[in-house]
Amino acid sequence: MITASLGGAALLAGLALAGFGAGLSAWAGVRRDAVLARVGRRGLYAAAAAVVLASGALEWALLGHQFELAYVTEHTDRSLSWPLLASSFYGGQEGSLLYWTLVLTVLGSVAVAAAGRSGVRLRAYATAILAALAGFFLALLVFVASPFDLLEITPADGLGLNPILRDGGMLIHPPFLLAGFSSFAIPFAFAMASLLAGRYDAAWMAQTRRLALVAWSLQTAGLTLGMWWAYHVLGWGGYWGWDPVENVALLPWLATTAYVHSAQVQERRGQLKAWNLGLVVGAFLLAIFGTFLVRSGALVSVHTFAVSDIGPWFFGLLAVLVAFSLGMLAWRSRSLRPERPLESPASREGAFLLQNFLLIGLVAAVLWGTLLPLMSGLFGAQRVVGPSYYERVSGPLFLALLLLLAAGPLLPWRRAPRGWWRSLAWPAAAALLALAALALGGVRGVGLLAFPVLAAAAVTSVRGLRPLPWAWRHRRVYGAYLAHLGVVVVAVGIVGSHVWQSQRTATLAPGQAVTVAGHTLTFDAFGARPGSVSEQFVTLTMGDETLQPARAFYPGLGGQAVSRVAIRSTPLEDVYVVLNDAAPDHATVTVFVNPLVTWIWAGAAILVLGILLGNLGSAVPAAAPVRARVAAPAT
Amino acid sequence: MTWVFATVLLMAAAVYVLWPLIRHWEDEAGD
Repeated sequence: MITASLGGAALLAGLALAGFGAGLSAWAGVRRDAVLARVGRRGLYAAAAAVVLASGALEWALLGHQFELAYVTEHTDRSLSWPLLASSFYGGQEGSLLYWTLVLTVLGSVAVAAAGRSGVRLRAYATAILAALAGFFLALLVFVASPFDLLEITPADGLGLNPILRDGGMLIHPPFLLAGFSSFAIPFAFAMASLLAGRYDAAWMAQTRRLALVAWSLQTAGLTLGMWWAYHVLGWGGYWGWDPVENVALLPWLATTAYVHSAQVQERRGQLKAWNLGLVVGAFLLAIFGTFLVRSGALVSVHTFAVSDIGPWFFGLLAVLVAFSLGMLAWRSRSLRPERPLESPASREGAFLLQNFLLIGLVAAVLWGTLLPLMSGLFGAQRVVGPSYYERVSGPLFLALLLLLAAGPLLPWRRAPRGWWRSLAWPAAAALLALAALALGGVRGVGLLAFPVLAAAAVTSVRGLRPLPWAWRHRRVYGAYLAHLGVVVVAVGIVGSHVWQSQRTATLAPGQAVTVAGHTLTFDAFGARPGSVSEQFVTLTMGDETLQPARAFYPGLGGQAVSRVAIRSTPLEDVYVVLNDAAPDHATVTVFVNPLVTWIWAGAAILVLGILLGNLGSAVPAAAPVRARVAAPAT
Repeated sequence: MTWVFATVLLMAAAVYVLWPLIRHWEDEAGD
């Protein structure tokens, strides 16, 4: 009772403080008043502290089994381990909204506190926008979806967590992904503040770019962890199913990927100002739009546990943000003209622009596929596109992006001198060598096309590092090439697992075996573990190794069953076994052999490491390149 | 109970939030 009152009070206080901070900061920006701006900032910091207090209260209630709170009853029970109890914080609608607000207010406060050099007006406007957004979420938490609502009768136990969420992945995937979604608000706030304050200089650019990179890193980690979780938990042998929720998480990531590259063109050449602002704004609007689609239940997805009645609120927020953003861009359009025209398409900035077009093409294709059921449903029979649509459309675009990854970093700024194509000799040689090796090895189809491009991109990324002596001031260049290398490694994993995946479903009697891609698995024994969550498992031997896929049953949750996949991973391939059905005298299993999947996880780690390395320390733009052809590709 | 807690929290926060303004007014009064 006290915990609920304290949590509810903290949300109320947070709402009042965020509202006060937003109003006063906006007024301070208009008046250019440093003292009022400071008071407004403190309003945001205090709102963040109130949200931290409310989050602490919810965690306390979850860990203490305080079932008088509806949220605790609906999302936990006494059988959950304490890490899962703690992670139930964001396992439901109200808690995940509170988590959004926590990330927004805390990271927003850190960004505003670190923006001392931005000038009074820009900092005040950014504070106002962040505090207003925090106010929106706090109003939802207070009036529409409070995690501190009380039940009239306190039950002895709770209903428990959704079985799919009862996994170690629950501890890491949602916090990163939700943090990524939420943190897109921060570069958006600074971009809008720059329009309000009329400042578009390089210092602002460097700062916003770093904030966007924070959001981008969080989303990269969140997406990868989501793929890892889907691979380990859902039991369909893949890691990306083009589910609407996956798509809407990918969209802001793609837009921000375009931005972190095109931002360099503005930093170096004073071009693409309006385009860059559009990308930052677009990324945040896509994040809000995605949240609306997921939470409103407008689209059917594997994430249906997130559906609730707050969808219309997000739609309202989206409408306000679109109107505000378009209005601001139109108002400042004259000031956003480029300082100089593009000199030649065969230049670094030309390559960045082409890369941006390809990424926006991807955004449009994925958005179209995601919205098609909704749009077609308005005018008649609902049409749905499957993974084959996305693969057909995105495959060539991704391949073109990888080609740019191989050639783009070799182009100098302004215009390529005569004979610049000689610098392509190494990547071209690598591509030809890979092509010859693959053709001789009997590889045909997509693999024969993709791997030579990847070999060229890998050579460009590795050679990019070679001429530079190690020095802290070169970290942005190193980080950029490391990130590119990470992308290549991820792409090798995706292409390899896509092209060479083998699969077979078989029903085996004890002692019988199934062979897939050279791996023979023999059914040895059947077993069962009773308990509140009962489990059936089978033991399969593969050479000296033992694999034990299982199925878990949740009688307390209407007999729901989830698969417990058995995976044997090596750097070259995964043997992935799903138990479909089992009894003492037989077992039906699906065996997948997925080549190079571990490369995806390793590549994503290299990518995030590269981003972090490139952006540690001060926000000074990259040092002048040692030679044109080793300049930073992007960070 | 919720309103009591909220009032206490807001009063505590007000001191922190308004402190720069109080100092500013003090400085102005001192001049």
